[in-house]
Amino acid sequence: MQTLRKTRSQLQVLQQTELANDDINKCFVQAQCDAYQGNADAETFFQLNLRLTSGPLSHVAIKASSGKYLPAKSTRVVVTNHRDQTIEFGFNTNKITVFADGQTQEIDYTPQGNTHQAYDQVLQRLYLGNHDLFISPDLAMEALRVITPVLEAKGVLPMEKYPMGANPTTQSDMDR
Amino acid sequence: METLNPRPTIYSSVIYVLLGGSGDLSSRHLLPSLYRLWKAGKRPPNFLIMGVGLILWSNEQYREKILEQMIERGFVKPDDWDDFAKHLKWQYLNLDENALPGYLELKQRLIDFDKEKGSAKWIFYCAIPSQVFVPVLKYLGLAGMLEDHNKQIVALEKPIAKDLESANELQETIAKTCQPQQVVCVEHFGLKPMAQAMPKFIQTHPVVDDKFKLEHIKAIEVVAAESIGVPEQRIGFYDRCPCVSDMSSHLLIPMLSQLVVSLENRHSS
Repeated sequence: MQTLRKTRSQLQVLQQTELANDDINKCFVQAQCDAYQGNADAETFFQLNLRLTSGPLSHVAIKASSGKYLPAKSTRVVVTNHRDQTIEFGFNTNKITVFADGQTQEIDYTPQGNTHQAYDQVLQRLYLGNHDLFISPDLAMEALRVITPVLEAKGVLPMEKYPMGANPTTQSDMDR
Repeated sequence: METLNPRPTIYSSVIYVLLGGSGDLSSRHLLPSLYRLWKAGKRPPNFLIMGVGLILWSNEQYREKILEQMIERGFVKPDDWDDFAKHLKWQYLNLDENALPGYLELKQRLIDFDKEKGSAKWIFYCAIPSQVFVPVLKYLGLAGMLEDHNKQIVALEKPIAKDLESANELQETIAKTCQPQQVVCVEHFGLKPMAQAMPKFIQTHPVVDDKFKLEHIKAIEVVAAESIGVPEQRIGFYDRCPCVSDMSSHLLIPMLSQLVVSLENRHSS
């Protein structure tokens, strides 16, 4: 017999998202590229471990990272199952790559025809009143709440250094 | 992403009010995009771009300055630039001080356009630092420029706040000043084709059902890596808004929540 599970909104998911560990040192690392010319406390890379406090994915390890001066451009979401099979959603490549059973399947979602640059779409959608793909202030603020412990603590946390074009070596620190 | 305004009214005229109209974002992205849209015939014939900021310029000086900035950034002046530039105007306004008279003057110029060209949609694009969002919203409200939730909309550029306290202040200001659906946060990654393809794939592809049931998922990783660095002219902004603030609240965490919602919806029965 199937059971119906109530689905959540994005806002509800964010309300149930938090840092993976009370000890920020164990769930956040920051680094600055040695090529950066600005302030010493401005990180150009970070990695953050998160978790969902409830729901059917509360057992999942979540990692978010971002940075500049890295070896390659890549904006992606990767889902891994317990058999280390993956689905990768490539936001800059427009490709979805499924790796399962020793095989790789790649599906290209590059739009056909003319594609507008991002701000063309932003300005056009604002005029047309199509706000589906914008973020509501509620959502942005809830996301800000998730990272607030990091914002409050990062001034006293270590700042790793990394050379331009290299990956910061932070994973081992996170796994301590 | 969640629907904010399901029944939009399409206006036959539009005014883009670029708050921070002479800044980097306006000259590097917004004005070239508006030019392309105009060139592609995607602007109504009656449109106005009102640059707003703290410099005493004439309309003509603004047009010259913007063209100069765009050429510096690699924009090649086309033959029809002058035709486009006729739609560009400038309004001096000190955005964040006790500036109600200035906002009322701005409102009068928008009303004058409406009277001449027909009722336009007013889009206030905040290409300004987030610490000015609260006074700007307050004065737009006080001046009566946010009274019609179909006609008047405010777009905020990321990051919308530097911390939770300022975010709460912004949220309270929005609640007091206008309808919540009148304010949107711009994150152009949300407009990427994959932002739309990902939920559809999860909802329909059999591999999700076969191998990625919720209880079988072990890890989720969200990454936004760039090989480019921070250009010199952006260092001041980046010092105030480094990587965590720049990318987390508007990109990585909303992307994560979109993924989670899509997966839960797929397996909701």
